[in-house]
Amino acid sequence: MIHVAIPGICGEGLSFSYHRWEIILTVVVLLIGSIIAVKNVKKPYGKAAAAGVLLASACIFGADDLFTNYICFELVGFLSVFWLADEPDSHTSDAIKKYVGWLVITGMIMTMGMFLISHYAGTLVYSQILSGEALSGIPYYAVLACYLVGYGSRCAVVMLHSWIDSTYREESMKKGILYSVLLIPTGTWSLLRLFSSLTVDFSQWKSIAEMMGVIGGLTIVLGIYRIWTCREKGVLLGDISMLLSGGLLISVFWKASSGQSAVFCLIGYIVVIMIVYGILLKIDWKPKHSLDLEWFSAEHMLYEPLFVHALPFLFGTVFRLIDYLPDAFVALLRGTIYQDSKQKVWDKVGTPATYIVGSILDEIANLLNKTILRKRPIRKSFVNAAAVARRESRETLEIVTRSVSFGLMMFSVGMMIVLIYIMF
Amino acid sequence: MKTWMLLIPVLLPVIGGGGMYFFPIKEDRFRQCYVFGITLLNSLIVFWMLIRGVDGSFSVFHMAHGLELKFHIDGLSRVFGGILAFLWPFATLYAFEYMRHEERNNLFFCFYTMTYGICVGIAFSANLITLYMFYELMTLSTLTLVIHKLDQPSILATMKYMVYSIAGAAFAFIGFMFILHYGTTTDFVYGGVLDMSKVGGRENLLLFIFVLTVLGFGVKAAIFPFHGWLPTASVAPTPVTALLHAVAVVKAGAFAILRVTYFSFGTDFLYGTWAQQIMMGFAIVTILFASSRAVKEIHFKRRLAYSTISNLSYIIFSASLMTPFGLKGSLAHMVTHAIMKITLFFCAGAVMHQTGKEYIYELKGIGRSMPFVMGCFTIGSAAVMGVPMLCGFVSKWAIVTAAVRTQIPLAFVGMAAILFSAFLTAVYLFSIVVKAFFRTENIVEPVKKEDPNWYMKLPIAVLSGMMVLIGVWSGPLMQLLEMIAYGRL
Repeated sequence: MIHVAIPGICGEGLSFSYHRWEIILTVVVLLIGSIIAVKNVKKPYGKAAAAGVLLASACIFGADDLFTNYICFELVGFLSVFWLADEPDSHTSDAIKKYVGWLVITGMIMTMGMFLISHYAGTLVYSQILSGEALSGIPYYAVLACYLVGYGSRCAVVMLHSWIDSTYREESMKKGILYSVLLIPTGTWSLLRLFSSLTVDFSQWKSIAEMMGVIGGLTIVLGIYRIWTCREKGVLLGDISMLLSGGLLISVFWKASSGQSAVFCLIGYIVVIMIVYGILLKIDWKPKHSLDLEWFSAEHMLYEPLFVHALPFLFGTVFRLIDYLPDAFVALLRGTIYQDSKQKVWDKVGTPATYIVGSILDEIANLLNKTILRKRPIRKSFVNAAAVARRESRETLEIVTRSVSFGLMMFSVGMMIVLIYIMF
Repeated sequence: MKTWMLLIPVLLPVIGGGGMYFFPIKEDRFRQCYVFGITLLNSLIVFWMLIRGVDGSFSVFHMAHGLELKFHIDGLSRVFGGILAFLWPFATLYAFEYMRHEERNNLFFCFYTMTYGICVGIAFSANLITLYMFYELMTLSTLTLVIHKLDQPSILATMKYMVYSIAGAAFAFIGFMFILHYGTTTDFVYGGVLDMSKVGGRENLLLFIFVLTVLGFGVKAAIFPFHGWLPTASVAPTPVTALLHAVAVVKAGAFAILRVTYFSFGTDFLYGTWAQQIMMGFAIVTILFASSRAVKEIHFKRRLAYSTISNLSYIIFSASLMTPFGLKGSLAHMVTHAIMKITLFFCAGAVMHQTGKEYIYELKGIGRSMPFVMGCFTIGSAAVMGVPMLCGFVSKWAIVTAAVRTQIPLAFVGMAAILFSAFLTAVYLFSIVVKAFFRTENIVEPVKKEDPNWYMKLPIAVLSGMMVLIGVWSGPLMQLLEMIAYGRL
């Protein structure tokens, strides 16, 4: 067994342990991931990101606790964004927006799950999380739900699969295989690792396995339908990955809680997906058109209506209104108790001084217009300009004076409250 | 080290900067050398003092009723002083390039440098009256920086800033008077200074005064609904918005709130009371409000200003937990947010300086012409979002962990608000990144490289590196902050 602990990283420290089967899985993923990344990723930053994803994926397989897993899992997600940007085209910005949206929301949900575990179980170390009295009932199911969404979206399970459409495309199919080979195994492994830590007896494990069986089954059904109606080759790879992911969930959760058989299943999945990828590269896929099931996903049923439309509209409208309240209050004060004194007669705009200065300047301008500025004469009235300048400077001074007096008034009110209190 | 030496980092920038008002320097290069010399020297002195430590406090002079102007260095001073001393030289370097084509540079750098000393005064203040005096001085010295352009928006922004600041300080002053009356001293003592024999029976009154004080100081920390001055003040030159309105001024507000909560009123008195719930409530509403407003804001710097408002309330929320872990989270976010936000503002300023573009819809494809700046902006955005291995994650984690530990129901609401705010942060910051790098479909003209020179690039590069460094290797920093939060430093 290899054990590595790095204290102080990200505040809490990271810890990894690799047993025999985890080492094998890590080596296989690293090997295949490296070959694909070197061959398919073009830009230097894409290659650097791929190296980061590979390292973080390897760390996920050996994570000793949920915090370490979370850090590495999030890193895999955010670094994999760079592959979308490897050869940008007109779809790239939408794909990235959607993908990052998924990452952030699922990250948010997993964080909640992590804090629930930390709160009820008092630890995030896998071997110490027990689903006894400390974590049971509603919190237990809430944790299951949080992680099912978090890790499940990475595995593209039913309802959480819609990122496939924007991420896997014909033009970027060579990058798509990276998502299949690296992201889906890490998601499945993380689910397995956590859920096996949350069970103390066989009946609990059986209920989780049944739940995963239903989800896996639905994922397979939807995957088959999507393959049948698929319109482009890139997405087809994603759909096949989704189908295999469903199968993976069923087989991993039915066969054992961890270890040898899980590793075999994951390696088997990687081998099959590589063969499928090789075949897809060689064949021509004829587009098909049929019933659109795109709406059947959490993104279209929940995320878009709630997060993209309803909440921003609600917060945007309500908060914008509220934002104007303090200013409206000040404006109200200015219009009432701080109202400007009423003018009884209209002010003359200028003064004798501005008139004299303006007249002199006008005469000079006239003289210049007749001589050296004949081609480009000055057509401005300096009498008017001087008067307006004086008026503007007076107004500015007045505004500043009033502001100071308003501030001082507030200060005085505070002082008075204190004095009254102290005196009485 | 002699205690009188605490005066040096306060007076050096004030006298050095003030000197430029009376003896203006015409040559740009001489002025830059002079200003940078003072700033760097002062930072070195501050760092030296923070590392060596100064035993005891230095009383400058006594006023009536036991009031005295007094300085010391404790844990909190170390955090705020350290932030100022680290960031000020970089911001000054950046300002040289940014202000190159602006007018009245002598006046600008005069007040800019003086503000450094005043902020150090806030950091080193040993009691409430000293803090209050320097807090007010900071308002006055920064007014001139906001109004620097002397156009109509700057004048209006200054008026707003002045009204909000002075009104807020008035409320804070009430708190000061009550501490003077009900406290054993106005000095900052870990755990609070309230004399419970005097307080007896008047707890609710004091709690009310505490809320008033927090809201008063909260004006500078841009607590909702007293935040309006901050987005408006973004008309100021970028070095001002970056350093003062994202770091020094707003953090001074948060710093003052930490002082009155943990060192004046005391958490033993406040924990579990309605005043704590109200403080927490204000912070939670501000977090949600400002993040939501940022999403809809189309002006680059104003969007960042709303982001600042939201993040400042993370600090206040964590402070409102009133536990050592809460204080640790607050301090951690003070440090990390200072670095993250100044970087983002520097990037925004660089874009405005190089291209004149101020609105987000104008930034389409700008990542191609300014790859360095927008690359660093991406790192900063990811850090503010809380992506692991970047500094924002460390502090957000500390805050949320502290919230969970308290087991207060409202703290869980706050935790949910922070998580939702992280999603909104992704929306309002990553939309800029995506627009800058990937919305290039209608751009046909050849790419002209517009990254700024090294005066601007160096601070951005160093600070981006710091975001990664703190994110990856945060152990020593968090240990230091934990010692401070437990009053052991």
